[in-house]
Amino acid sequence: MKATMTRSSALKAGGALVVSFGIPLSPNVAEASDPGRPDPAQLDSWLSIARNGTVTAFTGRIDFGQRKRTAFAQIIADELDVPFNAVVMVMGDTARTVEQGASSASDGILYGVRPLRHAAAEARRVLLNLAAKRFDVPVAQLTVTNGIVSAGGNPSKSVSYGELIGNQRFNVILKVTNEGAPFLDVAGQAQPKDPSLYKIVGKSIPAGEIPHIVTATWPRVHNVRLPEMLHARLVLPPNPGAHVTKVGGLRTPVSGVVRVVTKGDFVAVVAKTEWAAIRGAENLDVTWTRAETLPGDEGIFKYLRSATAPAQFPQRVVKKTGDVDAALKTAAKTFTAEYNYPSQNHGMIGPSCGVADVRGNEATVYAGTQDAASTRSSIAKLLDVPEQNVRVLPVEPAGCYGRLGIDDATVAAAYLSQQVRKPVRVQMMRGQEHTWEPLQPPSTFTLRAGVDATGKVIAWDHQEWTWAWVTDELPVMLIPKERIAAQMPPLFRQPGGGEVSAYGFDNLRVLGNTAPPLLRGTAMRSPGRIQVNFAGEQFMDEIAAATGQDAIAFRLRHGVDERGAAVLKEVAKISAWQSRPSPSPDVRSSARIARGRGVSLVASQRSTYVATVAEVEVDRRTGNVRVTRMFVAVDPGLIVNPDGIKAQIEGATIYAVSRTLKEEVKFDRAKLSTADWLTYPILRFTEVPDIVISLINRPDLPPGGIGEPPNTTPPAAIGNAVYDAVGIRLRDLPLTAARVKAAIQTA
Amino acid sequence: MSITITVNKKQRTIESSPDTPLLYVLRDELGLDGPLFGCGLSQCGACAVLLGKKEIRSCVTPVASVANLEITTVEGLGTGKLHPVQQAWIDEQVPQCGYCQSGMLIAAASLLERVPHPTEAQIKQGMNGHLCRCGTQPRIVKAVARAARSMA
Repeated sequence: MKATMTRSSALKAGGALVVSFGIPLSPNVAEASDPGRPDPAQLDSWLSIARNGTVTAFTGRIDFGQRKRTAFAQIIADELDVPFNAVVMVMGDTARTVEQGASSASDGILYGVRPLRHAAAEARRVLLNLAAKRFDVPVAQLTVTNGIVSAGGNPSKSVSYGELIGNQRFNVILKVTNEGAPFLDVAGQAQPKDPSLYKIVGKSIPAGEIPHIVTATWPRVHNVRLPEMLHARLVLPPNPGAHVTKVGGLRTPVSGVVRVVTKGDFVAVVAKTEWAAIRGAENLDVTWTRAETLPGDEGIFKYLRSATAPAQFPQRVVKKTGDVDAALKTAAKTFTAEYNYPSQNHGMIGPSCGVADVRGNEATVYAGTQDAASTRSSIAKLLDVPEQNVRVLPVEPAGCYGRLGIDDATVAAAYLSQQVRKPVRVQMMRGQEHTWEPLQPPSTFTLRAGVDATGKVIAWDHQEWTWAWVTDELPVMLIPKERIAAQMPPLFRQPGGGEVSAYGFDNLRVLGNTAPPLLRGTAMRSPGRIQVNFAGEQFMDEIAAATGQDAIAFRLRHGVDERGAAVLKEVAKISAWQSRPSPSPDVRSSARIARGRGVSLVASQRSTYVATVAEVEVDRRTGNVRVTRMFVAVDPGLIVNPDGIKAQIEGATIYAVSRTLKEEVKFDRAKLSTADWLTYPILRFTEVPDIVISLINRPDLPPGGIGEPPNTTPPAAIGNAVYDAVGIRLRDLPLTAARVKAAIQTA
Repeated sequence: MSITITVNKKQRTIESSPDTPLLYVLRDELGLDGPLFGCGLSQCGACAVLLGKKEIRSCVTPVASVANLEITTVEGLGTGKLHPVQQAWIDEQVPQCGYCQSGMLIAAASLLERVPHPTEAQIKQGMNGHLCRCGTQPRIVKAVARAARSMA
């Protein structure tokens, strides 16, 4: 991507996509309540129609590979009755789109597109009124096809949307029906269509960005090149908690180094070329204090259980129904187990990168962020400029799956650009990405349950310990100590406690405990849910096995709702599930390879239901677990783009198989040792299972999230399958060969 | 002494120092977007390019070591039209974020040069040195098989 980025470069190929920087700002900017951002109450903030009929739709949400761009455009095209190719999406530009919160948590299709759906319905109503006036006929006599309004089938009485409104403002006020950025919604007088009338929704429209991706012409933050742009590399501390004591010069001269910038513990080398920045950072003589702030990965779960909760996050009662203690006393049988889910790394293939151009008190920032608004606010604070002077242009990063180091790189670029008065590009090195990105915190669980004489759960007691998230977007070295604000882990804020809520237990207690973070923690695909599901859905399996019940039948007798029951039955069908208790009858076989199957359910995660069945082969000699097939039944509500949904299910499943079999952040007392793809391996081609998917369409329901829910179920499904195969319950992840072999040998 | 390399069929004289990894020469001096920095350690494949018809990792290849040789990036993979692997990638709707995909396409083109009709196992083995975090591997396996059929 060349410097021409600053001019308009609208790409259009096979559908709705636009890459446009420097296009004139939306006219609503001056009226906005949020500084510099368009006003959600104006229809013009959401849609504009050009004379040629092109519909430009503006959303604060961003797409980074989930095909939201395509799915959003499908809904808008259907609401307006225009061809799919007529819709162009502008996503996330803080100067031109309404603030709609972070593009995270799998809620783009659920909440992100909702106001656009309502705005498009209203735009259609307004356009029909204009046409009715023009032809002097009642609106009821009008029909719309491909953006052409016709009156009573009379060819002389037809007019295009472009002719009706082309390049003019609607000047229509919408009612903001839901405040609060992520859930923001608007309503006009028109109702959105009955989804049974949709023609484009429900089709597997190809993603318009793909022809550009395969020819390397798709914009990517890593490829932003500005005139006079300099490159920078950060010099990060050798250990968490280490501080700079001295910054010397370059140990060997590096041609091209422009400047060394230091501010407290923030050290960076700015150079004319990327290679000079890398060589400069490697050669800079920096002395750090020695810091040993970690308990070592072996001690991490003990730390979580024994740490004193920060004053602002006392133990939280997430859910309490009935009387768990009393019910446990009356139980025919009780169970208890501890589960440990390690810290994991987002593993972004492209290390974090940001490009910024700060001129005086104005900043233009090219960011791979998931949350342009908070990136903007962080930068404004750091640079000490008004927020409306900072324009954040989201450009696709590498798939990120959670808030991560990308924001560090962006903010560092802005700071460095301010210092050197030139555009600056910052990219992390691989080891920096692996060891300094905000990690998914570890979690440990104690579960207790009691069953009655028929083997039905009558009490469920769930307690989790994890550490708080750090939400400050400044690079860790630039955060003033007093600003290291921690955020309560997300699941503790939600009523229901995750998967436990799939079942209608009469006596239920869900407790969340928050420890002070030892490493910067943040969201990673399915945050909180994957951990709770890993523990809860294996514990369900333990009880089913101990009471001689089939795992799916056992779940179905515990108050699973109709949608949950439907995905369970569907996954049983596609996996040819044989009803029987675990472990498998072959568990005592002497064959080297043991085979098993296991199930897991997630109910109503972002309005989506998923049941996953894993099939595994366990090598009794080496302990190696091979996941051979994954069967995934998904009810995502209204299906907008089946192939896009399948791509997300495949990706989310593989990501979670990788997390289950391989991934754990390792550290000693001083530092992380998982610093690259050898020390932190992820799933490879030869290890990827076959994936069989079945979708259940619910046109009467809103479209549900899809990036995260299928990522939630695999760890428990695989853990249950390993138990089914070898009769040994492994309650710690990852299921490495060494761990499984040791468990088999001691069993 | 300046170094000359051929990139996407064009001869280029390189100003970067001879120890500069080819990746930075391609990206920063020649302005190409296809090869991307993923690890700098030859572990992930995001920077893969063709040296002749063979895949190499440009992040660990000093530019001096490919002097006077022919390099092809994903930008030069098709000649006038899309290379069959690029078309197959579109047909199978492979990419999600796309960061690894230039390297994947290079690896696929290189694999099909060596093994024109690979089995599924050969495709997986042939692509195994490339990492993808989005989980596009099943579609890549299908796309390589499709490209092989279209080239037959």
